[in-house]
Amino acid sequence: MEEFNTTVRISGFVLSSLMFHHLNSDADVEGLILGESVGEENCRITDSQIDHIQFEHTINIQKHIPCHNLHSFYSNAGDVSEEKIRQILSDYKEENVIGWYRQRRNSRQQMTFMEQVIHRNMRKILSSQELVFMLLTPSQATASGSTHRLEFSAFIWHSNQYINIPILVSNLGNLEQQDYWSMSGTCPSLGESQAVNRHRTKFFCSGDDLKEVRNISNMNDALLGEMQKVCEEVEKSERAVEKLQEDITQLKEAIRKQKRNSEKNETQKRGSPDEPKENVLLCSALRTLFPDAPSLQTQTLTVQGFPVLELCCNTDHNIDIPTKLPLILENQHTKRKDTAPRLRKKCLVASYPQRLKRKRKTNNTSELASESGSDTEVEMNGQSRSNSPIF
Amino acid sequence: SIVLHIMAVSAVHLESDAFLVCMNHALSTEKEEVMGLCIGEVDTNRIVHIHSVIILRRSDKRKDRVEISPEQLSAASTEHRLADMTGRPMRVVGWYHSHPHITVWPSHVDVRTQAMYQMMDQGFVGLIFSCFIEDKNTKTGRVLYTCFQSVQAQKGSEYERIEIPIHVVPHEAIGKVCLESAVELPRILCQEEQDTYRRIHSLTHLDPITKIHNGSVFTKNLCSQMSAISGPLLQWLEDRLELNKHSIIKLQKEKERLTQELASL
Repeated sequence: MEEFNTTVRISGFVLSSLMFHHLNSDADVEGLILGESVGEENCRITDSQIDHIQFEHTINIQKHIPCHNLHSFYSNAGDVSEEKIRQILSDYKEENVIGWYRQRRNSRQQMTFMEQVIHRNMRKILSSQELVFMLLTPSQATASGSTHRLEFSAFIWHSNQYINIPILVSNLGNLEQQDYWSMSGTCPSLGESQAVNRHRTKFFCSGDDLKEVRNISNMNDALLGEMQKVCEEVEKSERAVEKLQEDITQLKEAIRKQKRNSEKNETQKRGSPDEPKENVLLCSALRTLFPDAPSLQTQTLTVQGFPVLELCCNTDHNIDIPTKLPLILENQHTKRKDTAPRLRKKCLVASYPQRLKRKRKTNNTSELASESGSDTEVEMNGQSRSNSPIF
Repeated sequence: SIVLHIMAVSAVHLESDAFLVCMNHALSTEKEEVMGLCIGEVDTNRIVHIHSVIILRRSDKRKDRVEISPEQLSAASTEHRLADMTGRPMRVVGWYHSHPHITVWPSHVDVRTQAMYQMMDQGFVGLIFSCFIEDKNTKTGRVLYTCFQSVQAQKGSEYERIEIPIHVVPHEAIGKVCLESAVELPRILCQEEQDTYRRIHSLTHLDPITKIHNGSVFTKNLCSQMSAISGPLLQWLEDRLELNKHSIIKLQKEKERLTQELASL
């Protein structure tokens, strides 16, 4: 019987860094998690014949690599690209990838379908046995915005399902800090013992200082000195990044300005092309083919989409039809004889301006003209009867 | 009768790099509350801008006795670190402390302490970070932070907390002051340990065995600090440096591309 016991550990500095990544972005963020997985098998044989084996697995998250954009290493379908992961990792080794993370605001601590797909595909590609998906979900805790909450946990695939495992934040407090002895609780003979005094010099330096204390203090000081050096380098690099970002912003602005200026100059050269030109060929063609259909000769429609007949084009464009539009003449000679019975398809809802037009029409003694939007005469076989040419 | 509270502070804007330092500090230990000071300025809209923080040592480490001494406050006010890169004068505008394993809301003691600070500066704000909370059912870890001030419902009555909206403002690059404050933490811890050890070691009646034992305790405690704080902090700094180096290469390419584009126009 196997018992599965996995914990994920992360230092407070990595957790803060993850929060920092998301706080600097309006959108969701994601990235890769690097670290190591340490497994321990505790085998206990019980009284019965069954071996009781307990696996203790600790996954240590040591660092994270933030992605600059979403979808950096997977497609819209969730297919993961090993090539793109290598690019993100750059100098880091692929073996150290122990998982990935996502941060999304005001959402639930639950893997989305897409995240499950990506995770499954990542598991296929990466050699890591237990890939971890870390989900961080910040949200507002009060309406006033005075209090904010961050929830976080890890998900791994085990026994055909995703299970939720807790993340322990390793800190100074969970390492037992020993207490000093302020009283000599032992008998006085120890202080006077020859054996103790003989060996004393191995532990004490000149004076009363302990060698051990001096050694560890020196090492600690050296470590802090190293940290200070790296800190100074980080500071320089932060300023360098800031400066480059500023330069880029300025360059982009300058390019925008240049483009705007050159556009302005070009439009000035062209004159005022903003007024739309009339398609005189089309107008002439329609007038020739449908002389009794003013609805086809207007370029203006009402808000409801009905042609405004009062604004028909009345100018003679002096287009020589036989030369410019010879196909039209051909069609005029092949008007079909109308023998099929007609169906009138009345428009169910006629708007007020339409009804107004109809009223005006009845006063007009002109031939019936097809008004789009009102009656449409439809033939039995489905084709609309009109003088439309057959191509 | 209606009591009108004229809000001295309308909101708090905490820069994300200052938030980073606070969070690092709050997550450094689950055994005791940590505290520090908030440095920044207040604008004409009564918005408190926090640009950086100063990590403080706690002389009194009793539970729920988080207090900044007047000496600490005055020392902080004269620190050179207050001078900002912007050249504007910064000052102490608030305090923060952590609530490990405890709810984020300020205790009665916290509210009274905050009220005391408000007497010398009515714009003084308090921040609390609650960490090491875990929902045993959902196996989800939690971190909360809140911002508050104190008001007295009536003269002579108990102080109550009032909520102050807080927004963490993006600040992609980490400021110099914030970096310096971040690396103060292991120094302060080491200092505390050395002070404790020296105090014990100076006791004359201790026999050699006890002294050797205490030396080992000092070694062990310092190793814990190196393992839990200095090591991970150094790791984070190195990773940050690496990240920035890559960003610089990318940004430089982008800058060159744009420079060429501008030249061609």
